[in-house]
Amino acid sequence: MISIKNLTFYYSGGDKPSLRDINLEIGDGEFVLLTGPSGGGKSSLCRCLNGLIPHFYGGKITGKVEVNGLDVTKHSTRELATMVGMVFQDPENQLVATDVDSELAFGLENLAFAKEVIARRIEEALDTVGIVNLRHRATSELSGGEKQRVAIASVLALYPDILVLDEPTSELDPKGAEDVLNVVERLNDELGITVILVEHRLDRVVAHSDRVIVLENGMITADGGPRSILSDGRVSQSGVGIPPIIKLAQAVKSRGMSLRVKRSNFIDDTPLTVKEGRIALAKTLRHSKP
Amino acid sequence: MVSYKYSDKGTVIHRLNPWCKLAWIAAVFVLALLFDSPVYLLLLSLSTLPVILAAKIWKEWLSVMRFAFFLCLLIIVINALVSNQGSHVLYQFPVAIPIVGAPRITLEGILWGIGNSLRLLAIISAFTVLMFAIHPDDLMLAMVKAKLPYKSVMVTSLSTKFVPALIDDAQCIADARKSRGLELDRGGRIQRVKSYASIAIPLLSNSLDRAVQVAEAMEARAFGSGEKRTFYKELKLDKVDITILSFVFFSVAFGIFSCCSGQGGYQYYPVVEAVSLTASEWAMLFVLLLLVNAMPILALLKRKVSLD
Repeated sequence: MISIKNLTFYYSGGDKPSLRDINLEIGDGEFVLLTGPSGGGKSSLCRCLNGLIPHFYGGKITGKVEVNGLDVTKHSTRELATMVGMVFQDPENQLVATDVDSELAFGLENLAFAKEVIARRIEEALDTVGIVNLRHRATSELSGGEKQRVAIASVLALYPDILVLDEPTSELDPKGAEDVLNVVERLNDELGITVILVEHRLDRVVAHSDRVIVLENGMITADGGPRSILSDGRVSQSGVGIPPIIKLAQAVKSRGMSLRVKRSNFIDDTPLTVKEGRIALAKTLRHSKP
Repeated sequence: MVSYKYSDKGTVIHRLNPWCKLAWIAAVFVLALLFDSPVYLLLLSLSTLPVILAAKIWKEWLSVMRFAFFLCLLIIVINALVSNQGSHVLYQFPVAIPIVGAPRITLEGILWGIGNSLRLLAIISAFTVLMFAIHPDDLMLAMVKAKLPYKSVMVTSLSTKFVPALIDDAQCIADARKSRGLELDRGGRIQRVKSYASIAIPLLSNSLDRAVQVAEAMEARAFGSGEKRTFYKELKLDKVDITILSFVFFSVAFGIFSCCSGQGGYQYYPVVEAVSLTASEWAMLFVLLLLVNAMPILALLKRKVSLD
């Protein structure tokens, strides 16, 4: 459970706030997609969630950020590390050990867990992420996608309730990105871990997300379900990469045809997956035949 | 192309407790400094070879040795030019060189250079084991157990880890610059320095960026936050390890003993000595070299016993 009230943040030496008056609540088990133009404050918001802001970065922070009821300004990154796991953009610069099992042990060692506990948790984390085969490999020999999955496993070993991923796939090839996103989706589905994902490949993850938040100039400019946010004209103008299937749906609608995506309990007009789009379009075209 | 990175070859030497290897390296180092006789130093250098062979790091060893030979050549040449205490003059320079004066090349000067090169080769050869046959994490753990501050050890280990990344980065920037028309090896000296600076500056800024990112990732996993820290891996010494350690200590003690009883000494100046060893000296030298090689022998036996 994350609760942010009136959060404004300036990096030290910055005269423009990187985050302005953010108000946000994120419930347990939600899959939140954080998007928006670069420099919009996505990374800064992520860093507030595990206390890197203000403990690591300094700067000026006003308002309140609470994670599981703990005020991040008053609790150290050490305490927050067991609640919020953070995965960063560059796979090269977040692995510190020489091989995979030491990498997974790193956080647990820092928190002074006993050797037996560490061994068990490494086993679990490797298994959860599905990288048991990488266990004894040297981190320098892994591919980008493997490195990112090791990074995910290394924070999972701390048993966080919340996983924050700051553009985890932007440096990866499509296959590596796919592997990483599959893991993230599975963690949310099966373990109920709250996921906050900063991601540009919206077309890939949007169908899985519960909520999309758009950050621009440090402010939340849109917040809601993926269908309503992405079909919103204002959002598409702000530089957010709207998935092609939604663009197609918009183009169809702008030509005066109606598009109906049938979902379990109600009917919507924005398809999120190619399958939804295909079915809806087939129906529309059948109806529009003379 | 030999990579200067540790890679786990899985040999008996790689599997051995790092304390044994560190003690062995220290022992070779001490012994190399104890003796002056070129026979002792030559045989000591050669007696590091079984470990190199058992660890299958001969390729790496060869490429380090190539560099070491160059260093030795430098020592021999400089010493021959500078030292003029010897009495067998081979060549007298007719003209004076500033600072050095008119060099007088003597047989003793050259032999001194060769003798001390052997000392250097023994030490460098032993240190290749440190570089290529001790897992960096094991080394780090050994340092921590030796009561060095954990944070400093971690920083050292990280900096070695990021050297390859730095080299890649430099290559990448150089390629990017070249593809936009920068000619690194053209122009005068000043022009070339300028060209290289254009790589150094982005490289430096990238490295600083990288440092902040790594620090951030470590902070996010609670690095350095508590007074206490546990270690997942341990360096447990088993009976064989302790036996090896005792042999290594014994080899140093034996070396000191034979040195004190007047063996292994040698005089280059003013007149080079004849190299001659008595039968008992040969015997003691042989025992010493056997002790130095107790490590690979016992390590091999350990593997064999554990397989049985």
